[in-house]
Amino acid sequence: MVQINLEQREITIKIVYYGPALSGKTTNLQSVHQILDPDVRGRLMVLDTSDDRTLFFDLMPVYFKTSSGFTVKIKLFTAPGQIMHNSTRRIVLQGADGVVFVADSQKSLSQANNDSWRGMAANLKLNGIDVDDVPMVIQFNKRDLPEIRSDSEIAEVAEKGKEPVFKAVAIRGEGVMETLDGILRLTWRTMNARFGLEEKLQIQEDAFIKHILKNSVMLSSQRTLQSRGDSQ
Amino acid sequence: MSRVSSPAEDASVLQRRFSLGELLDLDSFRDVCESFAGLFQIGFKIFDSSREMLVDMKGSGSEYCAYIFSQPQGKIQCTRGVGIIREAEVNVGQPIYHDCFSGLRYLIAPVTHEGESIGKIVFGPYLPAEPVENPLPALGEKFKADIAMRLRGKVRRVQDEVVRKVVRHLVQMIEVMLYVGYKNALTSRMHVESVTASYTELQTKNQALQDSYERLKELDRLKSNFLATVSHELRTPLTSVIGYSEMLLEGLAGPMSDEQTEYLHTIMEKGDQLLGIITSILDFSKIEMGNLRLNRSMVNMIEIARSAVTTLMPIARKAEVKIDFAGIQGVPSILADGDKIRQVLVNLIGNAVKFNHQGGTVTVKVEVCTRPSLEVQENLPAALARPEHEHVCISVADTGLGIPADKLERVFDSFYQVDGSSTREHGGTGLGLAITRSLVEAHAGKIEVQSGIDRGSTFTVLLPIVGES
Amino acid sequence: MARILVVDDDTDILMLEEKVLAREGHEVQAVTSGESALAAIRGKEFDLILLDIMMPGIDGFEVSRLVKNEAQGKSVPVIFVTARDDSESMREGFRAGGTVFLSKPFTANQLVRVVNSIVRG
Repeated sequence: MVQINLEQREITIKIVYYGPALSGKTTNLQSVHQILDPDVRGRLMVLDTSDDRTLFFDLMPVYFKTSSGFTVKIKLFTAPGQIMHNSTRRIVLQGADGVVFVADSQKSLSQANNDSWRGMAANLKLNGIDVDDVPMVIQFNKRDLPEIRSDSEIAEVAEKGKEPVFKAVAIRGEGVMETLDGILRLTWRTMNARFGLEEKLQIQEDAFIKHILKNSVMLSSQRTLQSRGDSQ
Repeated sequence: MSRVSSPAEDASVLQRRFSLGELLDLDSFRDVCESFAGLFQIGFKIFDSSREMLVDMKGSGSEYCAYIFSQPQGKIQCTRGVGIIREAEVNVGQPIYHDCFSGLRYLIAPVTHEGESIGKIVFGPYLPAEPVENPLPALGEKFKADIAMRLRGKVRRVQDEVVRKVVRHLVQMIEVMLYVGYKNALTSRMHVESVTASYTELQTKNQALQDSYERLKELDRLKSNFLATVSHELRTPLTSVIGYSEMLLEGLAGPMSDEQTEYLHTIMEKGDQLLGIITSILDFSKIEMGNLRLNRSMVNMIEIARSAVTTLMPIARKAEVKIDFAGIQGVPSILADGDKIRQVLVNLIGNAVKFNHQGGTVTVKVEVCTRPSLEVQENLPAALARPEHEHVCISVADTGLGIPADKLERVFDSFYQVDGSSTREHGGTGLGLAITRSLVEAHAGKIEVQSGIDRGSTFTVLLPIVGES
Repeated sequence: MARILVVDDDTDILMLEEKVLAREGHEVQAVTSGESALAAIRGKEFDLILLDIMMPGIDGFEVSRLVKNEAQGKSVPVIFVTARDDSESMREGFRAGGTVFLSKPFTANQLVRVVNSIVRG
């Protein structure tokens, strides 16, 4: 749940990266951490085990101040993917304002993707959130591997579904910022509709995005999101 | 503090805000501050965002300040100055200088966490390098200039630029310690939260399992009840069928013609058959449900076998099959349910008669034989396990058609007939051998079969020699 | 020659038992309910009671318990004649003072054998 404190003039938004184990959620954050202007982001906190599997979560704060003096803080979390950490996943998903579902493009992991999605819907429900109500984008990561679902296949299913779909090779930083841009815009629109953020913060969507993405690698395109239309 | 949305009472530590004091291990932090203050000979204070003072380090300016504070005028102005400093708001990246009426200077800088101010550090007092001219404050005649000058002379004189650098280092160090503290706080609390959530989930699942178990027990009880009721309902009308047929046969309603007698025999026979089927089905259901209870006592198998043979004599005579019985010396009495074993033998001998040629023989032998141990050798080293045991062996051999090798193992399956005929043809339910095997196994025994086409079959019941415990 | 009370709500079975036992030379009184059985016992002395268990009204167990409580009935042996063959019924039967359980359906021989073993034994 977005935390808006009008008196202290600050707003905190929570974005969660979710998906099956090893799909690249932590890698996404690591890339974002490298690409973003150091002035707008804090340290990337990685709570993991000795063999680099996420234990509890990763957390990276992103922040800026609007010209009207509002502090905007966006906390990016990843939820651990391994099966036994379901309780942690549920806790991390609490109060999520937007979700990035990081799916593994490999065909052999389709079942893992689906199981993870269902688990996410269940966890959201336990937290009092309907999976259809929360801003959501889907990222097909690991486009560089063999035996993956083809681009045309993905384009086809993307048309049918309502979630914006992005492709990425997170380990190379490709597609990561596009995805972040996508979820930020979607989340902004939803929350603006619900809470009138534009009015309260005195900034518009583009300015919101620019504050965060300024001085970082230029986005290759915003085609995917705009083609979704503003039907959200 | 107005909130548009506030976190629920049981929200996770992830949504929580931490105060500066919570994120720092204050004891070790104060040690670090002390060495820092000692290094630069300048004191400093650290406040959290609610203006609470967490750290107060004294430096070279303390004596001078104390002297000023001892003057009534000085005390008033000092207190006012401290108040101003305490309330001072500093923004990220914008430290401010504060000049004290005493001629000393402070630098106030914010301590940030996740991009926002979580406290501030008030560094000083120090003697600014500029301006060179720095008159003493006028605090009345008790305030002696020479003492004041001497004390002020002890205060470290530094350039603003240097102070800024020093404070920047200090703040960086604090922020690293903050991050570590934050990480630890999150990790340990997440750990607890996760474990608690898992535990709650387990509790819920346990409860669901318990409920399921209770339901299954209830279902079992209902089934048991059902069996008892069905048994009763089926047997009651049969009582009349068999009973009245018998009465007619005995002439209690007048003399019977030969034909009438024949018909009555048929009715009684079928009534008996029906009873047999009902008993088999109910027995089988009981065994399947694990409801069968054995009535154990010390029994002699030779007697039991002889009794079974006697029962089947009439049927054997009619089928023109001979039954040979041999009870070998030395068979001990064993703990068993005599009735059930008798049932087993009646079934086996009955089959042997049924599936025999006209003029064939059934050989029943009861003896002690040695077989590989039937009991499970758990937790015993192979060296100690007794490979062979003595058992009571009851064999029933016929000279009939035999059973083909590939069907041998299946003869004990429920509702299985070797020749694929319907069970009615040979007057059985198809359950006989299944029940027989269950009954034998309930005694921790085993049943074996050997057969050859046109050479007949031999069924052997092995029972462990168990005495009264 | 014994005085036997036969109780069963199924009149066919009742007639069966009566005829078979009468043929053996016993004096038989037949009633169709638990209530009538109790009345009969209070009015006359019996050497044996053949009791069906499943009856509407007072069931066989209850009759047995009540009979065993009364002075006249205490020493009278009770044979439960029933189609119920589960061990729980048997336990309750013996607790209610029964001596023998005869399973329905029975042959005339079985009935006679059991009765004789009690009244002559």
